[in-house]
Amino acid sequence: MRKVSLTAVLLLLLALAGAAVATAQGGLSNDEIDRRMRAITDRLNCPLCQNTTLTECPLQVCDEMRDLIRQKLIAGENEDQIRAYFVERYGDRVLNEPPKQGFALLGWVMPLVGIMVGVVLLGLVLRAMLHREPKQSAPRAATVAATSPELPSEYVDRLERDLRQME
Amino acid sequence: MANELPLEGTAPVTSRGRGKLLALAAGVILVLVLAGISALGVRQASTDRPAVGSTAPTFSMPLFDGPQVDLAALRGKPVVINFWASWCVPCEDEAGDLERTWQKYKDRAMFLGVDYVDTEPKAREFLKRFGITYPNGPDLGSRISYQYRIKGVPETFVIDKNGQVRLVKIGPTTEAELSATLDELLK
Repeated sequence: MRKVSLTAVLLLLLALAGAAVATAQGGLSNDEIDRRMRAITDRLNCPLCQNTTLTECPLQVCDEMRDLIRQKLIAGENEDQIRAYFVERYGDRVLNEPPKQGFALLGWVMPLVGIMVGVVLLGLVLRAMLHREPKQSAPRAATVAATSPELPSEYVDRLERDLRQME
Repeated sequence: MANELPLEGTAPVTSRGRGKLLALAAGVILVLVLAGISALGVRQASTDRPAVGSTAPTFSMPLFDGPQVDLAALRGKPVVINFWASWCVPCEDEAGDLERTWQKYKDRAMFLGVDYVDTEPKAREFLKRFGITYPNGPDLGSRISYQYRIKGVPETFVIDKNGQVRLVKIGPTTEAELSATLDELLK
């Protein structure tokens, strides 16, 4: 019975310690902080390396940046605030996607423009191909009659006869 | 001759021609836009770093302990601009020399430390560890480093009282080197 009470007290103390840690971390558990930190570092690049995320970069300064992000999360800052801080400190290059403003906006617009130009070009090519198709599929006699209504009938008859023989 | 067959397919040929013309125009516009964008990028990337004898780019910088500092407002006395970072080992080698030189010339010259790609807590720790007392601040957005086209840290520029670059030092500087340059400028 005494052992059971001791275990209960220990469990209660552990739970209280856990709650105290969570309160000190802005109500966030370690797992939640790790998850949020990963979400942020995955979307930020090392300002010194090219195309290396803050999650992957082994440089000491990136280690310090990850620590800073953790401190900011514990202090209650959200992802947008932390990203804004990093952009202010290190510039747009820390973002692994271009910002949707200024010159960098072209990074978002140009692929769309490229797709649109491609679609227009494809449309033009298809249209040109379709325009060619009726000439080949329509009966030749009908074409002669339809496009030459003012020709003398005996000339048209002869032409159609010759064309039929050719077919 | 009046019964000559009309030219079959005249209309489709014209339409096809117009289509080709439109496609060509769209292609030319696309190429021009892409060429313009890359030319802009090349122009930005190829701007030279400030050389000895050229005018030093002006900038404003917030300080870790104090208000904003404006380089243009410092005209009239030599300015030593040192780019550094707390994670940079050679910066540790020159830190003592910089502080000693500052102590020697602080009445006649200005020193500015520009902290490149760093975290503020570590930067402050570094300043405290080496007893740095001249003004230092973060290079927000790496804009100053970009203006000066630094290759890395440490790098030091000495600017005369008229705003002309008089020394460009890539790598750690020394008390002797800085003193010699400042003595020359203060003659």
